[in-house]
Amino acid sequence: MDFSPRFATLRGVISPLIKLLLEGGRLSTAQMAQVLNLPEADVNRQLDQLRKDRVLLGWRPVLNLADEETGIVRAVIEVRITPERGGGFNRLADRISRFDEVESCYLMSGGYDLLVFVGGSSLQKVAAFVSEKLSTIEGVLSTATHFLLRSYKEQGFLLDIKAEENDRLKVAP
Amino acid sequence: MDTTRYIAKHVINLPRSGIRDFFEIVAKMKDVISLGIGEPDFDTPWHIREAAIYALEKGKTHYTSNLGLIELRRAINRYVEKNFSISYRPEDEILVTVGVSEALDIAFRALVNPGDKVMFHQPCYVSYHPSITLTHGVAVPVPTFAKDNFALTAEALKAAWEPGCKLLMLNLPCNPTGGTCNRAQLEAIAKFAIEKDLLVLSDEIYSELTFDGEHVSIASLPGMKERTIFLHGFSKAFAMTGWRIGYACGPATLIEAMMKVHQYSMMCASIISQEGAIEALVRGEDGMKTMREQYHRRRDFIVRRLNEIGLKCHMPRASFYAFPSVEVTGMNEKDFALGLLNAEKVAMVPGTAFGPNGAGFCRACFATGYDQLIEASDRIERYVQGLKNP
Repeated sequence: MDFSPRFATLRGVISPLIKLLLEGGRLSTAQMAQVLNLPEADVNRQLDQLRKDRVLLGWRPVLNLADEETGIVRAVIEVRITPERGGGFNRLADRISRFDEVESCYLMSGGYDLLVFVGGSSLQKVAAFVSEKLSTIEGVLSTATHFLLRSYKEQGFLLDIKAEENDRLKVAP
Repeated sequence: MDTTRYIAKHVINLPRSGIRDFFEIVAKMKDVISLGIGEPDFDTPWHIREAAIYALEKGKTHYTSNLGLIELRRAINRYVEKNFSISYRPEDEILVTVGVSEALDIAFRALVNPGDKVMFHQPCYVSYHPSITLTHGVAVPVPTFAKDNFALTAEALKAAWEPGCKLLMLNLPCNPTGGTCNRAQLEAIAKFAIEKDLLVLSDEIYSELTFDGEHVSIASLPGMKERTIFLHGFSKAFAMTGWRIGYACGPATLIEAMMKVHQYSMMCASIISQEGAIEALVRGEDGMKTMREQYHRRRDFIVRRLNEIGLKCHMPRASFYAFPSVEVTGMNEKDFALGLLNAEKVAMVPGTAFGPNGAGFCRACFATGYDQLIEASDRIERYVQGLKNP
C-alpha cells in the first residue's frame, strides 16, 4: 500500500495550508501566503500538489437557497447490493457513483450497503432514476428511497438563521 | 444639588479606565477593524450553550451553595489537578465566583487592611490597581520590560519591594503583554515570596492559551500551594466571557474568608453559568484546543507583520495579545493609536491604559478573523509608511 507520500505531505509542509483552507473562510492565495509566511507561488504549488494527490478535489459554494428556488429535489437512497468476489462492493459502488444524479455515495455498516444522495430537477426524475437506472443494475438487490424535505445544516453551515449582527464591544479590557 | 459630595473620596479620586475613554471614541466610528477587544471572537461552543439551555429546561433556576455547585467544584479539582498539577479539596478549598474579577475583588476585600501593600506587575489588566485602591490598600507596581519579553523577574520584585508588602498579585500569562514566566523564573519569584512572607494571588486566566513551552502555575511549586490563591475562569479558554464565571482555589481558611464576602455580596454565581461551566470542563477540551491552534497561527502572522512594518514586537508566548512598540514612529502611544484610528480605522489600545510603563506600546488583540487581521496589518503598514514619508 503506497500511501506514504500523501501522508508525508499532509503531516508535513502542506498540513498548515489544509488547516487554513478549512478554517480560513474564503481567503485568496495571496492572503493565504501572507498568513503562512510563504511566497504566493509556493501556496499555488502546494495547492497544485494537493490537487494532484487528489486530496483537494475542488471548490463548491455552500448555498442557502430554498428548494423551490433551485428547483432541486434531493433523496437519500439505501441500496443493498451483492458483493463480488475479488472486488467486494467497490465495482458496483463506482458504477453507481458515476451517474450525474448521484451527489455522494458511501459504503455503510448495518442494514444496507450503500447510502446514495441523489439530486434531480423533479420528484418524477429522481424516482425515474431510481426505478430505471439504479434498481435495474445487475447486483442491486433492493432500494429504499427517502426524499429530503428540508435542510437545516449544510457542510457545517446552519441554514435557518439570519446574518448575525456583531454585537461585540469594539474595545474591551 | 451637588451630588458628587456624596461620593466616597477613594472612589471620586479613582480615574476612569483608559480603555473606557478609547472605547467612547471608537464606538462613534463606523467600519473600524478593532484589535482592541479583549475577548475571544469565537462564540461559546454549542455543547456548552446547549447544556445551559438543558439546565434551564430542567428547572435549574435556584440559588446554589455559596461555594458553588459541588459537581462543579469536583470538576474544577479534576481539571486543575490534571492541567496544573495542584489538588484542592472541593469541599472547602474551592470557591466558584462571578468571573475572576469577582474572585479578585473578594480576595482583596478579605485580605487587605487599610494601608496594606500589594505588589503587582505592570503593564497589567486594568482593574488590578483600582481594586487595590478600592480596598484601601496601597498599590506597589513592579515593572516588566520588553527586553525580558515582559516576563516578571525576581530582580524587579526585589527592587520594588518595600516594608509592609503583604500580597503579590500575578497575572501570567499577562494581559496586555502576552508575557509569561518559565519555571526557573517562577521559582525565583516563589523564593522571593517565601523570603518576604508574601501571599500570592495568581490570576491564570490565559494559561490554556500558551503556545510555546509549558504553562507552570506558581501554586504548583514547592512550598507555594499554602501561600497562593489560584484564580481561574472560563472566559478565555472556553470563550465564555459573557457568562461571568470563574473560581478561586486556596487554603481553606482563606477560601472561607473570601466566601464570607462573597456570601454577603454575591450569594452565589449564576446557576446557569455553573451548569455551562461543568460541561466546559468535562467535554470542552477539544474545542479549546481547536481555538488555541487558531490563535497560535494568528499570533505568528500578526507578530511577524508588525515586525515587518517596523513596530518592534516580542513574540508573546501566550494569550491573544501582541504588544508592539510604536517608538519607531516618534509618536507616543496615544497619538499613534488615535492617528491610526482616524487615518485607517484600525483600533489598538494605547499601552498606558494598562499602566504608565505601557508608554510607547499599543495592545493589538489578534482574536479576530484572518481577513480582518490581514486588512488591519496592511492599513497599519500604510499608516506607518505615511508617517515616514509625509
